[in-house]
Amino acid sequence: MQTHPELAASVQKGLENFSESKILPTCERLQDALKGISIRRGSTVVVHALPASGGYTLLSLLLVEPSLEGIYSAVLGLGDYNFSLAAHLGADLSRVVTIDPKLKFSERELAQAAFALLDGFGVVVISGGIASLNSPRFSAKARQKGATLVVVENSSSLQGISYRIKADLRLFVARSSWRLSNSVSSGILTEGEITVQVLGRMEHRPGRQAS
Amino acid sequence: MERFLYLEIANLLATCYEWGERDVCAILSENKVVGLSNGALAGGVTLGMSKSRAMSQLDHLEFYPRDPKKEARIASTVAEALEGVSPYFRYIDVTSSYLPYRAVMRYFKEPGALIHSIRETLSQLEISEGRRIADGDIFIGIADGLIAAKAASFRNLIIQRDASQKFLESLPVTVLGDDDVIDMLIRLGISTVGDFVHMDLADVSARFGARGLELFEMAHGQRTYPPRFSPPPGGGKVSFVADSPLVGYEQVVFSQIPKLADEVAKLRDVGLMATSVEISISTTRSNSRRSWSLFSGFDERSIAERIIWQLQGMEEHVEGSSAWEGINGWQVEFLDVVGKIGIQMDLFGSLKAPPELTVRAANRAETILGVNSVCVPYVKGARLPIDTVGFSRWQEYWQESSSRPRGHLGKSSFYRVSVDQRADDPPWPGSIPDPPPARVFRDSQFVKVTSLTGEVVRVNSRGGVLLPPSRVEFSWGTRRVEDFLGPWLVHQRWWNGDSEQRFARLLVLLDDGTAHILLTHNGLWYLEASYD
Repeated sequence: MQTHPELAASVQKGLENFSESKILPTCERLQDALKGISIRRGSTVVVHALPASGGYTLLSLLLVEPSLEGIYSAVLGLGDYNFSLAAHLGADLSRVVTIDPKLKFSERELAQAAFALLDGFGVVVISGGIASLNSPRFSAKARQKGATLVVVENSSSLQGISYRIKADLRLFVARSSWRLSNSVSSGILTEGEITVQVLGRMEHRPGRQAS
Repeated sequence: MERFLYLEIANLLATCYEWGERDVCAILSENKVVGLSNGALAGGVTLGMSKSRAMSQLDHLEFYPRDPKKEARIASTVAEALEGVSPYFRYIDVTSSYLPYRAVMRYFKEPGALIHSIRETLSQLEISEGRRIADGDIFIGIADGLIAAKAASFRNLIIQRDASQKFLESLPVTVLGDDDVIDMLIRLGISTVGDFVHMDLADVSARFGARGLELFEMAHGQRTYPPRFSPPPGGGKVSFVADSPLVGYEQVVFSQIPKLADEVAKLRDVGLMATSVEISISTTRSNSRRSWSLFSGFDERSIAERIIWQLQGMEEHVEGSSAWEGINGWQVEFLDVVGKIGIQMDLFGSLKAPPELTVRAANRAETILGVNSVCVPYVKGARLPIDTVGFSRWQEYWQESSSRPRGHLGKSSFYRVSVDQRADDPPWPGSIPDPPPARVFRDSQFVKVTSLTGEVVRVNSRGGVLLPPSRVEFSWGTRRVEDFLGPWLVHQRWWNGDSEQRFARLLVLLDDGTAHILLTHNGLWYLEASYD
């Protein structure tokens, strides 16, 4: 049986779109850092952040493309996160919600709120403390709703890294040194590159279906 | 023009705390003193004073936060007592209320008799164990129009009929409101209402727009607050009846918000908004009926807030939690309905409107965490990195982006600047140049910056360092300084003694490749932000 080439192309495009819709859109810089590994919607991603090692830059990069493509993100439990970095990297902050930092809530209350947000937000970013309260439930809800759950695990040293949250994708971030810029007009610092080491239970590369 | 009685009970919030005669204490809200002990009053501190001014008066002054639950109970006690004088009192907040004078004119023939009755009732009222409201704390004013009545209450005056306009013209222009237009009038040298009313109407319209015209009409006494209308037929009431008495009520009230929103929308569809509502609540032990006012217009959230305040007051009134068995239901009735102004609907709606599921999820999160807890960040100009991100209320954001007219025309910065405009704000002189640091620490984290000799590095008044920084001790370890930039002296808000800030900032690059912004003030060093 012969297939009409236009129909075949259309079917192929449809399949690609279907496959892409299951993948969280990521900006070019993050794609470079992830070395071709995609983040599936509905997966749990743990970002291991050592002090000033680039974990928060990675988080900001994660927010950029979804916000530009109309996907809403929520960030909870990261009181020291500076949203202006995400804006600087190109994120549309009008599609990002957070909890008023002036109000104080327990991790348990924030966990309840995060659980509710998974119903309608494409990306939900929470701290390791919140996720650890009931990480299997969070992951199950994210999977069910097709939301990407990003857990930021802060550790003060390599020895202190915690693996308490089960993750589909585990990102260890390192960055090259910051340097003073030659001219203030171009920014006071020259940013080094961030490199990401990925450990995944469900690595998903284009062209290869993850199990 | 309608005549009003305005009642203000000063220092009522102080009754939330059991202070002794010698205690020197104050209640602080948004950096302003809102309640005082007798000791603090005797020491020269006054209500409305800023924290720093109060501390300059009494350096050993102790500060306490507001206690919403106790405030609700006190407001409930006062409201119950005032109901004995007239059931038509309308409550603006815990300490302020007003009464349309026509409602009691037949009973109290003379204004003096009405004032005497209110003073007597409040003076005899026992707020808490043995605590009563001092007669000197009760301020009552009667005049034509609510603005004049409020101004008259500051001096306990009864302004004769038809004399209110002259009285109003003698007052500062701030009695008309507290917004950008008023600020601009003051900056232009128009300091009294009298100065304002003599301006040309065309000039006011051209320069200050709709808000200017509104203020102009208020200054001329042509409107008390916006003219009233009747609610549309079939609208104006929302009821809730519980199947069985409810003990925990906050979530139930929030669950009724869509019902309230429908009623608010009915008004909005015909260009109206409610400025006064009557809330009737029935519990297993008692019933409560109270009228609330919000001159900027009620929306579903602000009505829900009032229901909760009223319930909190009733619950606190009950001795012991076991006595509170629950609520049977409530009813909200719109009393005063006015024309809505300044709302321009988008013709085709907004492309940025969040999806229904997202709205529901965010509203559900807000139900869990409380009113106005969910917000949308935006970038703004500031010298401190912590101030470079502002937060708009989610409710305002999604209503705005969905082209839903806003119900609450509060003094929110969100409405003055759209999200897109904010992003295009020009650079702020003195701010940290790009890239912005990824982490900004709200709570001060002490660090130790030492020189090669081990001495703590000090910055002199000219912004110089005698010994360059060599090491930084963080809570997670000590790092060697590879390079540094600065220090820069920052002196901001020098024109305002209360919020003036003077410090020096230093950017350090450390041997582990990390970069941080450190801040020094009074010889101590803090970690302000980190590049992550």
